Amino acid sequence: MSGEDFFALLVSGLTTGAIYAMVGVSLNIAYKPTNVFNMAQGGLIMLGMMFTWVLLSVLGLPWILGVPLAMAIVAAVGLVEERIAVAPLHNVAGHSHAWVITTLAFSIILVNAADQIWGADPRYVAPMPGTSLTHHRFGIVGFNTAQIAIIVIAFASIWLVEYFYHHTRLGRAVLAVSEDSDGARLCGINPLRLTMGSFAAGGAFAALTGAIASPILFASTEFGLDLLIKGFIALAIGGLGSNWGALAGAILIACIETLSSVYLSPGMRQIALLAVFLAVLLMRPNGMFGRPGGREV
Amino acid sequence: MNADIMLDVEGLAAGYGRVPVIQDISLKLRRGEAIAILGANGAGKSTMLRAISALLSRAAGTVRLAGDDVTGLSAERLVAAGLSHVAEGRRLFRKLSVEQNLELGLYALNPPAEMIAERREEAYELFPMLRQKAQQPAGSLSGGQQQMLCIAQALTRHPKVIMLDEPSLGLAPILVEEVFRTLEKVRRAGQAILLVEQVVERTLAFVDFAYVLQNGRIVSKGTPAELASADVVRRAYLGEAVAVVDHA
Repeated sequence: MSGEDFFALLVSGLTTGAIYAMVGVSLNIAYKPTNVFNMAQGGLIMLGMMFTWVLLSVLGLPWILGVPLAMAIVAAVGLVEERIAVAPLHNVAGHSHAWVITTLAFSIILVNAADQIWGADPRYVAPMPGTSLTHHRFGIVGFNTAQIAIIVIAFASIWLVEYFYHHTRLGRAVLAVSEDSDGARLCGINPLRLTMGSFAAGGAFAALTGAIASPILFASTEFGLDLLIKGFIALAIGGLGSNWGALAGAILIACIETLSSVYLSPGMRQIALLAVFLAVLLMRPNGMFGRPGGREV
Repeated sequence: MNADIMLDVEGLAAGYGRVPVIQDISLKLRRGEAIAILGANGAGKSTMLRAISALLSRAAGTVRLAGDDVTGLSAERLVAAGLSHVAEGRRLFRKLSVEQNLELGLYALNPPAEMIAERREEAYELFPMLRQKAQQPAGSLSGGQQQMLCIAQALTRHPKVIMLDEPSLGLAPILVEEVFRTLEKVRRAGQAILLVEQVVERTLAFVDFAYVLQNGRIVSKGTPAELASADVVRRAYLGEAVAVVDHA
């Protein structure tokens, strides 16, 4: 195996890692004010893919119009999810376990509805304007511009999310709620409204993830669960709630997947991935960037 | 006369699940007045504060703030209406800086930048050590400093009523004095204070009126002088059965 092939694989791993990282970040967005995972996040990403395909490939809208529209639609779906699967449980003691079931149920409904409407066939979505799948080469590094666009958008969007949390009033309010919900209420912050907003924002981010992933993965109603699991593993390795941790964890698992399927065998891919996953958790149970004991009781 | 009553609680009952913790609580707090709630551990003091500030939903009772009926308001809205509750256990946002904590304390007021700076300055004048620690995470402060930050967070909102749940808990005596000195300033500024405390003597020396809570009910009330003469206070702390005192 040549160095060129190795670098091509590395770029491919980085690209896949960037997508997994965005999945992890979209989970984090809904997780922040609630400390609960939205199991339907994979379904929302799948919807983002399918709406991107409908709006760009079927209706022929320009990228700059179609993708924001897909984001708005999926944000609305996220909001509906919050209203019917999450909000009714606010008043039930110990509701956080019930959310696992209700959001999972919502996810199953989404995936089955999408399957009824669009079927399971993969659909082609063109790369974003200005980029292509044509191979370029600089020295021993080979890549295409569609890959670069995905990596750049992933980094930029994660940076934007981090900026929001740490440098805006609303973002800090979300951090406050995630640390101490009652304490935040005593400052006048309404956690329920932030939960609604976070489900909508998580939906929009999921749609963006689906939109930028669809040119290389193809849009399909079957992608949700697989991406959700990769996002989970990225978060478990990187540390729950940490967005840069999600990025590091995601790039690590994507590179392991890509390199192991070539250097070992495709059958070894999952085994190599889970072996590294277990090794990291054995050494750092809270993930590489997670802090132990987030909550004192 | 009624305009002077800043906090008026009547017939308050609340609990967790179906178990009532506090029942039939009525109290009044006037402008520039400080009152104390005394009682043993488990008497329901914190539950009472949580029910007044609507963190805990109430089973019965009305709450009026400066003459307005605020019974139906959520905890968040009550803060904006002028009721500040400094909860027990130094509820700060530990990962955020002192400065950011002060800013979040003003969230309910939706303040413009100049007002944030102005109120932050007030906090620093009240507790100068907060200025030196402004950029440090709140979790890195000592227990006493964290308590000062909690109090500053509440006071910079300029609340009509401030309720404090054991602000002196775990503090060195010199810091306990600093807490009371600060509260004295607050009282002189015309704000009303509701204090839950375990250091009974120091508290009775400070407040104008006190209520004794036992098993979730008010079993006695009076001025510090009246209460000091009755041994109901001591007995309430020891958790002994006490007949309900008839107050004329």
